Amino acid sequence: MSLNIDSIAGVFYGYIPFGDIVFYFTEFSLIGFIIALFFTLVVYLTKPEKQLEFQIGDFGDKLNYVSLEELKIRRLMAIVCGICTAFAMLTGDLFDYALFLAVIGIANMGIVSAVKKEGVLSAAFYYGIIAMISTLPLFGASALILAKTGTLSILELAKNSHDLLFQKIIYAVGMVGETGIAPFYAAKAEMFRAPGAPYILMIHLSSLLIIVRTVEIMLNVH
Amino acid sequence: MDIIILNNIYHVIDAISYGLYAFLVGGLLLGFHRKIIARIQGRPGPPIIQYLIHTFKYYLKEISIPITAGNPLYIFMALMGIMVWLTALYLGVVFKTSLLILIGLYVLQKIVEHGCGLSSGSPYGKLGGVRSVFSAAAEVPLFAAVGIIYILTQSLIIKDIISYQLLNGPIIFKLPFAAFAFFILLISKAPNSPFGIVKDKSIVSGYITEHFGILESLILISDAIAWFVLLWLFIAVFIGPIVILNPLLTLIGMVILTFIISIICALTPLLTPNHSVMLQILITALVIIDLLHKSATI
Amino acid sequence: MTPEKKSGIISLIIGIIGFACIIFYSNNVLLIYLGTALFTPFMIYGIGMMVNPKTKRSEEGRIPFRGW
Repeated sequence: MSLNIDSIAGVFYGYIPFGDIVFYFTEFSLIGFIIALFFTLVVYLTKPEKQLEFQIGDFGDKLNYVSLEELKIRRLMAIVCGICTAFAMLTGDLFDYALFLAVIGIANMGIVSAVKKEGVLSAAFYYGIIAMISTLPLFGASALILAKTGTLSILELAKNSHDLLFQKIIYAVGMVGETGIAPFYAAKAEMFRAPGAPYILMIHLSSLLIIVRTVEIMLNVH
Repeated sequence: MDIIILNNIYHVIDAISYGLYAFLVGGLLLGFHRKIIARIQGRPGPPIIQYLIHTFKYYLKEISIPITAGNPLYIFMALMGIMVWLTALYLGVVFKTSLLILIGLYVLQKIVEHGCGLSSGSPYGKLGGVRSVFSAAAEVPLFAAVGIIYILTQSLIIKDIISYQLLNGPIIFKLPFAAFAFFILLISKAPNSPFGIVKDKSIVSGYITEHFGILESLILISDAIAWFVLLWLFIAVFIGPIVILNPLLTLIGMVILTFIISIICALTPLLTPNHSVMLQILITALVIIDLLHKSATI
Repeated sequence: MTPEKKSGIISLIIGIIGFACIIFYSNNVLLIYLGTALFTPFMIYGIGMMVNPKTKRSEEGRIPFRGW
């Protein structure tokens, strides 16, 4: 196997032999996988908190509850998001990874879409638009990489140099839009004001783990 | 069979004593940090062991879980802080594995801050948590810095980075931008720093407002270990084997770094959230341009 | 039993089981270290809850929070 991965993500433990598009296990990916699954379990077990909110232009505070039906759909979406994040840590295929990212984006919107608050919903709408737009660079970049090299397997691409700087930049731009980091945080940060800490936390965890994993892929593919 | 179990017990004691060492050193350094800030402001300041005293005092205090809190997340978040930093200590300082894993663990610290804030249901905690999400811009230069280091050393394993520096001298002179980004990260993790919008006094104590008593003590322990790990990481990655291979020199290096950071923290005002994020995005842009320049020239 | 005491006992049980697992069923040094990192906080919290003083409030466990 290629030894480039060894020097980036820690010890290479092996892969599932199933063609060249495979799940592979390194120190980094195993730790990410376990963290994501563990967190999904905690999210499943946690009751949502009751959030106290200041009233603007009025006296007194308001207590926000998460109702039972709202809780059910949001918990389901949070678990989908967690499982997708866990397997995005393991996958060794650029297209698979892009698919997982797209599903995480949809699940993120699903987590907040049941909240009946105008600010949160409009933030989710803007985030949704950005996520939709950024699927183009994401899948486009994987198509460009496939066209140039003839494979999407990270293990194959890591073996020798392919001069993929431009495609990698586009791929990273797609990831940035899909997870909503730095320039797009304005849309996403408003979503974090919704009540229901465990589910909101899942959005945050998935995007952070995905960013680190993308950095690993960008360094591996070259 | 018995030998294996004895060996395992020996390893566990080893691991725990490493953790204790990191906690004591980190706690003393944070106390030193507070002392220097006080002296610059013309106060005598608390004794240097004040941080440790606080930790033990809170450890023996009564707590009660607020009725608004979402359990078990509320308690688990305080535990997770220690888990994250102990893991970082073992993987980084003891086993010297990949830098990328440590960055991932650093990123989990954000989850801890955010989770602590949100899970209590308090408006102050929530503001602290949301501000911690905002200041996630501080991590992006870190990823770019990792890329730059990889381009230079062709490896992200800390062991390899140290042996690279043994041959070629400290990285800090070759990659000043990456070192600068990492240094900004250290500053933003320090208490009373200009980027400390998460623990701004205008929102009571930020995300730890509702974590009092033993839970606050746990968070203080994790902060002390975090301070040790981050300083060690900066010294190991950018200054290298001259300092890191000798434990005494490492301690002296940590004291000097803490001294510099304390002076910066004492002399700068707390930025507003907007300005803090803007500055961090500027630094991000700088480091990303450096990364693109470096990867284009290879 | 108050919820605080209950959480302390649960975390103490998790910690003891975890440490027993890594001492008796592990043969990898890295795994032992990571297990220690995982279960030490549970032990610290559990022991801390055991030495936690008794509350003097009339209705225990029913305050909202400090910021209210």
